[in-house]
Amino acid sequence: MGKWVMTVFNRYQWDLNYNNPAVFIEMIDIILFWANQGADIVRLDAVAFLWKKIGTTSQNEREAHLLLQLMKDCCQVTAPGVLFIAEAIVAPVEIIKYFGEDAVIAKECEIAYNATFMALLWDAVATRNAKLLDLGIRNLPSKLDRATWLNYIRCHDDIGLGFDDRDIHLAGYEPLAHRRFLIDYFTGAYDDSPARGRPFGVNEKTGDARISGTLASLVGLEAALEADDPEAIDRAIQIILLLHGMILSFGGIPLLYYGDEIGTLNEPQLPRRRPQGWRQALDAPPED
Amino acid sequence: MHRPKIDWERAEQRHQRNSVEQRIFDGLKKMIEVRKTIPAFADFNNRELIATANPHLFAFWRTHPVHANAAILVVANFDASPRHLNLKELGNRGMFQYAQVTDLVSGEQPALFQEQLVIPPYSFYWLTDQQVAAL
Repeated sequence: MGKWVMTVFNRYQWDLNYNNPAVFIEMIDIILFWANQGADIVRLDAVAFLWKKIGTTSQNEREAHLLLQLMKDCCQVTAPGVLFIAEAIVAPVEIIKYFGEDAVIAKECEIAYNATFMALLWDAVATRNAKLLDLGIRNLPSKLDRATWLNYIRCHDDIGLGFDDRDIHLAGYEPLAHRRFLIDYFTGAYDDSPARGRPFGVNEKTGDARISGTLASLVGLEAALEADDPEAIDRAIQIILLLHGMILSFGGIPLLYYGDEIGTLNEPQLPRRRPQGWRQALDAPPED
Repeated sequence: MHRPKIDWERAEQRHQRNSVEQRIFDGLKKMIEVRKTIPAFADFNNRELIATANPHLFAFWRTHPVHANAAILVVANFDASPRHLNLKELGNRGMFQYAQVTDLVSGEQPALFQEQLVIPPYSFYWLTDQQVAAL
């Protein structure tokens, strides 16, 4: 081809260029195809990255919002029952914009991942207090009446500590040290921690990282089972139920991640994402 | 690592009384069942955080848009020790002041110690001050 392609997430996963109207029309065609199949809710992955601009971080650009509004409009006139979920794991003030900046009705996505609540819940687990959780939720911008949250403890991705530095300050912590503590806690490097997470995407300069692990392993069930410690097992089960008690009562749609309902532990031998050759996938016999 | 293959043998353990799998699975099922019976849990932007004196507690109201007495008090204790919530801190709504409160998940009336509600370690309550018929 002799040209450049942008691949934000993986070498085999090419980013689309919505500068080309044919790309947009093709994507609308795909969304409407699924609407025709009867899909009630369509999840739009990584919406923050829709639009690229040289010299910027190419996240949360205004054009990304315009594209989503246009997608919503196209759906409104043809399949008005279809809802969109925004998967935008970004700062609270940015997340809220994916509902569409309007008074009541969502102009973009009706549902958004509540990544803020997710990260704050983990902060409460590590610190054993709700100082930052309370502050972070108080400072969560209010959302539209006709939009709702997808509340979750963890999901398909790693856990990013995406809360506001200002809130960390207000809770009485030093942001850099606090983030470092959380990473140490969930990777089990902190003495008092039973967590068995792995750091992911470590930024050598800032020491920032994300945390990878299943719910059960992050709250100490794996360590407790290995130690055959009934009290520690009880504790881990309590925390699993406590966290679900929060996402089930917060307001919105609770998302239970597969495996967490039986306390599934980390599976260390699996690579994080398996590259999939398309040719190989097409030739392979169907898995049963 | 965090996207594991489903272990069907472990999944079967959820039928084994007192197994780890059973305690989590049935605990979640119960919460889901109870949640469905609580109208105030529907999202009408009807959540109000409660400023408690105890930093280990996370507490909020879920109010009902029409019926004031259908409000639910959600309170969680993230600490390893039991923590107390002063019911008088809840403001002057007149709710949860006199009546005995009931946790909708367990159906039990949690312990009160000198007008303070006791929340055990790593526990939460979904509280009502209304009479509850057994679920």
